[in-house]
Amino acid sequence: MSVEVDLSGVNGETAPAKLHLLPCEIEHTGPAQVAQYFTPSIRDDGQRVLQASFRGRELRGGNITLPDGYTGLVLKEKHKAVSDEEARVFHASQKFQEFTYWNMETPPSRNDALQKAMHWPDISKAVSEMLYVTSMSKFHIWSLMTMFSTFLVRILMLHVYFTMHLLIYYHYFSPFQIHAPVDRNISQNGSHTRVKLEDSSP
Amino acid sequence: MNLRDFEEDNAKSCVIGSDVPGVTKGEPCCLGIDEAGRGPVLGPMVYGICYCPLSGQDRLKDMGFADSKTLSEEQREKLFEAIAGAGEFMGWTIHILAPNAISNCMLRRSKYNLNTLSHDTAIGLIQRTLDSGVNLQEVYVDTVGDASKYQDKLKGIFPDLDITVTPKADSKFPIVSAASICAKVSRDRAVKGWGFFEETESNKISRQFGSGYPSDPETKKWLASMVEPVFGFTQFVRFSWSTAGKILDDKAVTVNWDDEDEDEKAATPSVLSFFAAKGEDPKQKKHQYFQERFLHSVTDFGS
Repeated sequence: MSVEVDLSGVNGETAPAKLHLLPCEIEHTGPAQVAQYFTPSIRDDGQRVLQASFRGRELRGGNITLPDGYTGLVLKEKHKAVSDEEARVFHASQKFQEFTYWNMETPPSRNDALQKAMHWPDISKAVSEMLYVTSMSKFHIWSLMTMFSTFLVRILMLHVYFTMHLLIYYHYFSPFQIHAPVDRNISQNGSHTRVKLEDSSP
Repeated sequence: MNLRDFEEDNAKSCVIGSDVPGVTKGEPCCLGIDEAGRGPVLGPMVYGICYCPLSGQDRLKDMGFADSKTLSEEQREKLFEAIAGAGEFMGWTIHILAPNAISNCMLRRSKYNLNTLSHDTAIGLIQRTLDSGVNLQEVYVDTVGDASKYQDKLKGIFPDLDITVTPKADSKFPIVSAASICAKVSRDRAVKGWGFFEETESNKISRQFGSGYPSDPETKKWLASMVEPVFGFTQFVRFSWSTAGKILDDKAVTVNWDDEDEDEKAATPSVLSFFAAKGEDPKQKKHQYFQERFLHSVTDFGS
């Protein structure tokens, strides 16, 4: 089974997608009146914390910028693949470099899983480089966002008409495998990333 | 009364008050507290206070204050004009609790109910009046919940004040009646002049919402007709009211909140689960680093 991403729909002129990641799962795929019902409810307290309400519940949020080298894409699968052999084709309709994520009541912080997860690409890169893993992968799409599948389902999308997916498209051809085939302990201190490796393979 | 501050952002609560009459800073004063719009599923709840010198109470009686609910809208407007015109000896303050603020409070993870919200608002208004230099001596409050418990709570916070909490205070004390008129008139004006930010050329919102009480068939009909499948209602509606919740259960798409799952998971596990084979190989388990960040390896998109 293979996955193809058609990038012809996005170019430099495509307006960036405005996305909100909500702390809930909305059992709905399709258009929604975000501009009428949600965007006008957003208040900025001037201290980088945003406030809004959804279904009467208080939300606190902030903007997240994607890690360097990554671009967010709004993907749409126009036709479902019928068999496992058939390639799945996704069409990119919009790009994004940042999105807004919302917590219930608590202001966004560096301890939020999502903010912490955004450090992983840097760590992963450091790990790969240290291991000198040289197995080549020709075209590596690393779907970071799909990894956060629990978050993903909840993304509230603008201009969404069919089944849509989000992923982060690894920007350049990576010569390294992201995942090193060894057990390891990774510790992270502050903004500096320190990686400690313990090879437990025999 | 100028509700402009509230109308500028009707998603947030707002306090509006008259000038403090000079005489109330010297002479001992009484203060009345009442609320309007507690029951309705729509619009703000308004807390009103009125205060004047103890010596002015006879003058209040002559002005014809009575329970705001027994007065017609016209009579209430007239009496409010009378309050505004008596600015040399009477002061008033209103605290408008936006429907969105009420929903936010009541739907919080840690329970914050309407009675506590009411009590806190009343306490805030008394404190505000004291801070503005009014020589307060007696306070009369229309009760919310159990009168004696509420009275003890207020006395604990303001031990120097002579506080009376009683049901139907607005028909017993003219100063509470005056407060109830301030509250009711501003609630009515806020509802009448409500600016729906959700409204656009293509998404007109009907004003035929009836009295706003959950028992009113017109209100129910309006609620059902304005449901937006994803967002539910306009912020004019109190989402925390069971009437609103039931309509959403029926007519809007289901929304599962993260904290609702937590409650289910916290339930005591079945005894059987201790004997069942553990499904996952612990060696396959991801390092805590990845678990904490909800990071998983994937090879395909979800369907």
